[in-house]
Amino acid sequence: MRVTEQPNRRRQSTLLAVPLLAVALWLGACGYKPLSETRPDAESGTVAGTAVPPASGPTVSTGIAVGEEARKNRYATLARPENALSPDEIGYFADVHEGRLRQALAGTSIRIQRVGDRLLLTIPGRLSFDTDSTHIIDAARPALAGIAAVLVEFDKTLVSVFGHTDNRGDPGYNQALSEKRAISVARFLAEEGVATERLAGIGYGQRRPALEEDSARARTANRRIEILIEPISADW
Amino acid sequence: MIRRDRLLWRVSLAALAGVLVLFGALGVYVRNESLAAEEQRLERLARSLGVTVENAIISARDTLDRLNGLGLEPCSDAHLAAMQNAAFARSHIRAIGYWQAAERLCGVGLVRGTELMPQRADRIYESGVVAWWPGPQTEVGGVQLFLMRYGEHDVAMDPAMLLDTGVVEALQAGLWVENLPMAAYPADAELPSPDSIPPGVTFDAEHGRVISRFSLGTVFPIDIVAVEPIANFRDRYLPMVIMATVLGLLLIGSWIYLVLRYSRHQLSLGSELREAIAQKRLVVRYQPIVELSDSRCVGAEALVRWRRDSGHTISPDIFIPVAEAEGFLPEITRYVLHAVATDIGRLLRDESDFAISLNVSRQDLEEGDLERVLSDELDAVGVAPSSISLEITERALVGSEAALRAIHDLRKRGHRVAIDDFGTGYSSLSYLEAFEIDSLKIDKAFVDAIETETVTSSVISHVIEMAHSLDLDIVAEGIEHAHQAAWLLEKGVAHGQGFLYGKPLSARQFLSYHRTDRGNDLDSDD
Repeated sequence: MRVTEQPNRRRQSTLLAVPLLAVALWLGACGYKPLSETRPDAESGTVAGTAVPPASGPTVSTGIAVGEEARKNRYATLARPENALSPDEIGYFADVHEGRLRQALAGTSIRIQRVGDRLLLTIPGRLSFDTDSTHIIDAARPALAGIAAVLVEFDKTLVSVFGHTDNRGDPGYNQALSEKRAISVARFLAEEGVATERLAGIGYGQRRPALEEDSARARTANRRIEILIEPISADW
Repeated sequence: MIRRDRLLWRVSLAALAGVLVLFGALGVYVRNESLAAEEQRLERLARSLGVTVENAIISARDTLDRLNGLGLEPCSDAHLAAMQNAAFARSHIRAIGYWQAAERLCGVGLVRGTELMPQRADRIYESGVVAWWPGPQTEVGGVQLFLMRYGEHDVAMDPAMLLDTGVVEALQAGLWVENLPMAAYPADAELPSPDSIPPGVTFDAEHGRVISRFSLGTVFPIDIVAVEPIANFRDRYLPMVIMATVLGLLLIGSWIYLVLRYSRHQLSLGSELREAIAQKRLVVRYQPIVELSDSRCVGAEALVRWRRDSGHTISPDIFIPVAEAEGFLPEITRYVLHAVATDIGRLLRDESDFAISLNVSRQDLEEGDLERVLSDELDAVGVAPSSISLEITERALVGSEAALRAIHDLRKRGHRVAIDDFGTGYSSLSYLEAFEIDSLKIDKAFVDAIETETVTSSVISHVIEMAHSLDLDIVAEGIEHAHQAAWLLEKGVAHGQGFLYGKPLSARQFLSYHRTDRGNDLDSDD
């Protein structure tokens, strides 16, 4: 490996990351809501293990937040002063974190995007699950293990795993499948040493395609796992 | 004088053009040479700096890679020693650290603890190398460091140590890596960014400085910008400029000298005359010589005339001495002889008692190969030597053994020899006895005096008597009036020439005159 490779220029990645930006904005908007206003019963928001798993929820390890609401609550839980990054640290933390992920994922087809201090990894579907399966294929495990190792080192983050499917088949079925897959990946990360309290799994089914068009190319791009890594900030 | 004006114009333009061209060439030469030398100098500098920087960066990265792969227990003595060794091996490395995420667990060198955690990396490479260029956020103890992290280790380098290689003395220099400022010498130097200046050497007259930019792109795009006062640049190339100036002045001097020499030469009457000869612009006129008793034409004197481009005619009294002084009078003699042979050679061949008088000079006799020229020209048209009389002034003969010998030889070949303008020169009758001559030409001045009956007319009487006693034929020049002819005839002068008989005529006119004259003879003979 040589340092001559094309540097990851933030401007370029910003342009490439319009869908991600939408996610980030949405996350940001939620993040600024006062904690008292969060609705613990919204959608399928529960905490696996501490409450009854959702109907579609798999039997997962305890501690992984499942669903969007649980994810938001989890962030609030993590943002304790002793656990959070100071404003002085956060930029350095994110830069080095990105560097370490790039080092770990060099040569794989996992995409790394950066928005602000957040990192988004995109794992193509064909490289993680077989069709209709929630079982992570063996070929995906080394890369996921590499990600897990970096996540263990850079431990002041909330790690959210998003499952996405394409638009074929029943949306309800797709929703359940994507959530199971997300939890499956989160559980793998937990098994690799990432604290479960930092993990969340959310299934989006076919609701958040990366490409809106109806084509084979779009379907391939839309079947994916995303891992969003958000540094825990003290001024949250 | 049209020719002179034209020539002066031409010469002035040539001189000016020559000087301008030389000055221009000199300027271009000095500029190119000094620029080329400066570019080479700076390119060497840039290359050396670029290689140093490149090596430092690559070596830093390799060091980090090696430390990451050692597999030592973090922060053990062995780990610390490995970092220490790596740092000591390179003077520009200020610190090496071992990190866990954003926490520095241990390390060696000047940068301690969490001091260096810049907020924004300048580059995060695909390989995972994160780099912070020197700037306020990487400043420790007044030194802005170049920071690189790869894996669990980071390295802090002092870029000034990269630049301070001794090659940048007496100028300000800056180093950009990937278009980001990496180092400057001196540290507070204010340098224009590479984007704002063209590659190569630029003169910034406004600020009195020379700016140069060189770019390398072997591993990283690297730009070197160097600034130095124009005075430095001047000093460096002053010897060359002086040398070039001296050389240039010499060239200009030689040019002006050559132009002046050429113009003086071209402006001289001599050169113009040579030109006229070369272009056959001299013309030959024939003034009839007659038998005074019956005015019958027995010959003619060939006279050379020079009419210049301007229409102005120059007297032979002026241009003959010039040709003589410049040593090419024999050329004129030959020119005239050739004209005679061409114009009336046939007449001379047909009428053996008819003769043309040709003026020859002492130069012809002493230096020219007159004898050969005569035989060449006359043989070519089959004219006998007796048909050409040679007129020589007294002065040409006095004191010249060579001339006298030549006269002797020419007479032996059959030419007749006459003393021209007798009475105007030494006028010493004693000479006449010493010279081998056939006839005497009495100058017009004496003939003019005939009418007035003054002293000169008594002189002419003596001259005539003397000639008779030496058995010399006499030709009187410049006869304009019949009574002069009558007087001369009475004194026993056989031949004469002058306006009374005919002015100098062109060859065509003369031949026509001659035909008429002969016709009259035939008539009278009848």
